[in-house]
Amino acid sequence: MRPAPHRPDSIRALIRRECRKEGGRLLAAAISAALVGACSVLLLGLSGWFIAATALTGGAAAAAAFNALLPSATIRLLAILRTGGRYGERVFGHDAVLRAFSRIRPALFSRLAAGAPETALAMPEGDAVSRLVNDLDELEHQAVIRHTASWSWLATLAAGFALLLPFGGWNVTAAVAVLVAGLHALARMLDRHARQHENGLAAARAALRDVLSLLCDAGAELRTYALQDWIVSRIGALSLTQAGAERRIARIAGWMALARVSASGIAGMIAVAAILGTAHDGAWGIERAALCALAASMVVEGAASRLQGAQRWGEARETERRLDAMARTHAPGRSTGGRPTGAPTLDWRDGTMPTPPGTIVALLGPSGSGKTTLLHRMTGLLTPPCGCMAIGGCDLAALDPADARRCFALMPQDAPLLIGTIRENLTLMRPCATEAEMWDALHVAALDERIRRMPHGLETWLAADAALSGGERRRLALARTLLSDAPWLLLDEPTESLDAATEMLILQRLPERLRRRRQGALIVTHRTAPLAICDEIHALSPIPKPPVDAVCPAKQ
Amino acid sequence: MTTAPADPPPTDHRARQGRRRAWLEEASAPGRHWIRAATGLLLLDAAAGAGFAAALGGAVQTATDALQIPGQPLAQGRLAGWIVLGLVCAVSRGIAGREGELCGNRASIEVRVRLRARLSRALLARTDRRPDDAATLGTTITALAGGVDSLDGYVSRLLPARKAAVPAQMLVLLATALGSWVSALLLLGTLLPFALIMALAGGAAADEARQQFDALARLSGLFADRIRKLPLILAARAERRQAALLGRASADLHRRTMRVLRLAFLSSAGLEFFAALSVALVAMYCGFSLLGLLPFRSPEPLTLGRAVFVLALAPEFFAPMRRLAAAYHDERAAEAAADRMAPLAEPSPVLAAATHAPLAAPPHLRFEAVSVLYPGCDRPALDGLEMDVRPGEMVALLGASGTGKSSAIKLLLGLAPLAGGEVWIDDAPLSGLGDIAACASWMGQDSFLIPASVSENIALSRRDASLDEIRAAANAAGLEWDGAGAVLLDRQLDERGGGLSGGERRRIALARALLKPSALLLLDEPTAHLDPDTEAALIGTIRAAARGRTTIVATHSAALAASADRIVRLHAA
Repeated sequence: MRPAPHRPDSIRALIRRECRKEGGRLLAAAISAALVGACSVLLLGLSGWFIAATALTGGAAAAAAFNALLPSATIRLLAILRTGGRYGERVFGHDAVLRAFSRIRPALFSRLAAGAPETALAMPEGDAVSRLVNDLDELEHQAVIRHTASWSWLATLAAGFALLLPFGGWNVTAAVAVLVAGLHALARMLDRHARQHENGLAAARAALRDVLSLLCDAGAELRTYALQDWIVSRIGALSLTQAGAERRIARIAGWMALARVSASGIAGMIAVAAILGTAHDGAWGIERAALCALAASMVVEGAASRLQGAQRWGEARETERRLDAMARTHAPGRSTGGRPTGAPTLDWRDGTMPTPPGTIVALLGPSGSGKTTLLHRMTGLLTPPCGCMAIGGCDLAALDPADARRCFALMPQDAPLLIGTIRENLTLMRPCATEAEMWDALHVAALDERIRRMPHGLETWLAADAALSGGERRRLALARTLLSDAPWLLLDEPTESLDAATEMLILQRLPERLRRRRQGALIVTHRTAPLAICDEIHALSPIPKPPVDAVCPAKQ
Repeated sequence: MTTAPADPPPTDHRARQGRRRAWLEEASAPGRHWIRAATGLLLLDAAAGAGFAAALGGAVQTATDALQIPGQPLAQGRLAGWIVLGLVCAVSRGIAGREGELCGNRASIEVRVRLRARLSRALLARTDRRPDDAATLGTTITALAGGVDSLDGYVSRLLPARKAAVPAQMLVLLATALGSWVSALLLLGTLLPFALIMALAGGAAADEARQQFDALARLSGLFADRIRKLPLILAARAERRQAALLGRASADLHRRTMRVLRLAFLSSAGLEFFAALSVALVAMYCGFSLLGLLPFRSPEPLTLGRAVFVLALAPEFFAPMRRLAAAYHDERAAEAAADRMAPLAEPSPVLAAATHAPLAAPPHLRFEAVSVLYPGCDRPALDGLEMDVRPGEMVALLGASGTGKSSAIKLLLGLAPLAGGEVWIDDAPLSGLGDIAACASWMGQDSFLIPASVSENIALSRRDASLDEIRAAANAAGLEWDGAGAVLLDRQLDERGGGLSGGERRRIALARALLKPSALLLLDEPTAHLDPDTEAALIGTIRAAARGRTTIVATHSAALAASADRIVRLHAA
């Protein structure tokens, strides 16, 4: 029995869970941030009081009695504390979030790997992956902002009210509290308002992407029908539509900026007006006014700093939705109908004789007859239909993909290589491969001499397009597949795009190696040379793909 | 053993940085007017900040005057005046902030719309795009969509902040000097060591941070790569190991990043320290000066009002630099995006600009030892093709995948580079003409449809065609008799041409090809993925459409090839 496939939780929950594991660091960041908030208010408030008090002591005798040392020392202390706090906030906050995301990336990868294989197969196409990576970077950035700004505003409020209440009185404190609460209410209201435009923005972006993919895809039409100007103007028009949606959101964010900045000044003026206009306690009133005016401004400013990123709340929501949609498709559990043991026989189930292990088979058929599809089904990258093939007596459809993958080692048609070293690419199929085994496989793929000549040898870094040519990349992919211990190697066009001499060399060495290791191979090819090494030729009946015209009954 | 991937060979960061800067500067040029406006608004904000400080000082001074001259009542009117000034300044700052953001947004839109258009044009002019490269295609689309948008913060926030930083600081300094020139000197005094430290440590830290940002981009690249190669990884049963590898690479990057960030934050802590120190120093000086406890004779008459004014202004002095530091991420993001976009805009082998006069009669095409070699490939996609297509003849190119059928056709359209040999169109060489796309009609296996009516979709090939002409083309393409019901020409299609059958899509493409008065018809797999009945019907239509045109069709279909006048078989090189 396999456990029922559970729905993976949302990306937001994943981030929250991983961030919670960094509780200690986040707490340190929060305390540091709180220190910054409190110190900022106290520093300015105390300074205001200090100079007012010094000015109003009057006379040299009184000046001698005025203890100037304590407040001035406190002011300097606060300055240092604030600096340290800011540093701690940044370092702890970044450390925690980066740590959490260094676990979130592999977790997301595992989630995609555990998802429906069809999703994985669709990955190389289109721009889904680049978007996924961008989205994740954006979420990381957001998390840093969120976690470093979280407690600072609360501490600012606490320190501010601690100053305002005794020195400014109830009315000033209440006015500042109302301003802060009003700002938060406004931020919420504006965010709700912005949410209405988010869909418009998402639609505009999607439309723009569609046209951009046309630009990249439909070169022939664009040229023959002189549509270059047309498509550029269309891209311009859609860019402007997107810009319009952005501007509507920016306008909303602009109101927030206006409110935030004005409120800070207004708070200061309220404090001055309230205290100076009504106070009848002489010098003490002025001192209080100086203190409260500066403190009130700082409180509102600090408390509003939390709202600074408000215009990106919507962006983050959209990002989360996209990532969730991607990682949520889950592989359906497949009932196991037995497990092939040893080297299995291939039963084609199309009236031809089953193929015993250790045979080299050429898999032929016109384009579109499903050769690559068959290889993908055999390796569980596509869900096989019932009865399409049997492996060692087990129906392919009833086989667990993990068992199927133990039997078959696939060299895909596009011969993909991982970004990494040559060694990393070779060990993908056989983690414990020894140096000698690697060179042996490279020899069969006629690539050993080329790599020996490279200055870094097996450690040569393979980036997107450097180091190896197209044919060399294909040969490396072949060597990698050869390293596998699977009883069957599935080679999709192994000698495509190789020159004739190299092809002959490989075809001389390949059968010898397969025989020695008692491995069979299914070779898909359009070329004639590989047929010479095959024991058996299996032709797929040229059944066309399901006609495009047909309406799928499932969709009705 | 597989370890976290090592660094690729180091590149010259400084030179790269210079190129990025220049590229970004050029890209943001179209927004300069709005950037200037945003900069002006930041200066206005600084001025209003000074006004607010003056209001605070004035109010306190008014109250002090009443206190220090016995018997004089509080000048209520003057106090109210100062308070109104303060409120006006506060709201002005708010308005300046809002308008500044909107100007930044305008600048960013201007820049991004222009840049996208420029990159699109550059991409259209490229002749050396490799076909069927899905990963590259995805990257290109992302660069054009998301990459361009990554410049937003750089243009809308960072550039105005950078331009305004020094003038705004000078403005605040000047205002401070009006209140107390000693305080202004003190502020300047904190700025100098700060600038010195920044110049010594900041530059190195920024360089390191930039490299780290590159490392982060590399991790993103690794992550993207492993997701793209997921089918391979699944087939190799390596998903656990690769997840662990990603984990190690991420953790390793995290460690190195933190080392650099600690250094980078030291510089921002320095900024913070000097900002706090400037407030403390001004407070100390004013306080002791007012007390008369300065160890030297007070160099200026200082009143409480002036003292409050300079104290309230002190935090404003470092605000522009803080704003700049806050936009740090925007700059890094823009630089990373610039790296992705710059190659798209690079000049590629541009075609000869000569345009071929419209072909009046079906042309005679002669391929002489023609080779096509895409950049980055070690083997030609088409090697030594010899073919002669007589005027009005229909020739089918038959051959396995990868033998260069499509490349032979794309060559004529300027979408594949001619590496050797020559194609003669009547008596003109292709290498001299560049391409003859303007004289040709084309149809492929994926029909390009836009969200508009069917007739507008057909008319893309000739925008001035009359309805009758469109109808005639649709008729010739067999569009109205396709399937059970007729396709109405004014039916609206969505982006993906939903609701149309595969046959109908091909027929729209064929009608489009026929509407253009061209004597050369190029078809690339026009019947791929169609069921036999639909294909048979379409072959008849294609055969009829080819009459009176020189036609080359690349196909796998034996049936379609059989309908041609002649078959040319291509073999792998």
